[in-house]
Amino acid sequence: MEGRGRAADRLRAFADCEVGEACTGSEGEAAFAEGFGAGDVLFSATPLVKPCTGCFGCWTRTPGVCVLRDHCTEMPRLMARCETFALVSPLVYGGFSHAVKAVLDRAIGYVQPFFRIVEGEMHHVPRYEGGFRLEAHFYGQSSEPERELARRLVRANAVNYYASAFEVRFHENLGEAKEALR
Amino acid sequence: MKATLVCGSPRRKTGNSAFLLDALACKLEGRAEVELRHAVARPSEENERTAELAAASDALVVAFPLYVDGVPASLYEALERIGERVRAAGAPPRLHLVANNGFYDARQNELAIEMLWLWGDACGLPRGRAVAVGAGEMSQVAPMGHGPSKNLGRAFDRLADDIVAGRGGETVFVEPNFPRFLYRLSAHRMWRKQAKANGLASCDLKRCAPDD
Repeated sequence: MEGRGRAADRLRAFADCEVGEACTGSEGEAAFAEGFGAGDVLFSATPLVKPCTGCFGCWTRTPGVCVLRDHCTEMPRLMARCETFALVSPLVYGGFSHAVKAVLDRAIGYVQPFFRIVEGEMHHVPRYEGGFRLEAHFYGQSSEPERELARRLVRANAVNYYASAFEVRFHENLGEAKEALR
Repeated sequence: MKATLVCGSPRRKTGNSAFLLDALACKLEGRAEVELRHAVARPSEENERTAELAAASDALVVAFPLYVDGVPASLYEALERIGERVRAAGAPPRLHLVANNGFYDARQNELAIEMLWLWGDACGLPRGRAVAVGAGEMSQVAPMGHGPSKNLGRAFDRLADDIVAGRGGETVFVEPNFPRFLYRLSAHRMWRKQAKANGLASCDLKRCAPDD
């Protein structure tokens, strides 16, 4: 398995913006990108990436690489190169938004198809050595049951994607989430 | 009574979710008028029609494969359309859920089920029964209720009864009548077979994605 020896990127995926804001395309991205460093990679989850079709191509056809071609094709490889994988998303029924979830679905090539047992539970075998720190920044209105579910979700994601550590935070709005990231 | 069954798998008719809904539809025969629908990832007439049918039903069953501890992103669009319509409906349907995952442990479907309950609550849908099916890839190897699918058959009998009776309860977690270590070995054999069909060696499946 390959290590993370080279200078790793910080990678973020950011989600569809708050209703009313034109945050898609290069104009929105440029505004969001202000203040981040040269080593940071910003990945826009909007416009929606092509949805995962469950074809297993990233496991058995082009291992580690999605067979669908768009800017999400390389997501597993990008994840392998980062120290921190930060997800910024509205909180949607205790989970990620449509756009961010679509990115996560396309990333399962980050692990191998083979199974192993970890603390009594079945999971996939890791493809890469080491692991990124997983940060989930949810924003928008939320109830305590939704927040509690989101914390459990990110913990589960951290286990499945072999994160070295994880953190879950809740913010009022996208602007505050961005401040927490910088 | 009317039941709308929505398959939330991108694999549509070939996937395990569709198989499970077909089996459920069989168990509902003679007891409910069933419509089987497939969720489409993007806005579509198909999703609009599904939403209409759901709003006019007594029961809505959503079946889906577990994707990264949650529902597939491709299901969100259909859920939004359904949500809009059922909120406006006079008598919203009771929501039942069928989750299935590639891991053996049915428990790993729990979070996704809870997310869909919250969605249903927000749409005003009374909670019905959820069935979480571990080792979903095994659900088609034997007829429902037989051999490795014995437990599965019992769980689906119960689900069908609950749908007809309009009641809910604790989530039923079901795993095959088949040992976990054998399931793991069978899965590995399947991956190697797929690799070979794609012109790859088994060790190729472990490789890292190539750099630029």
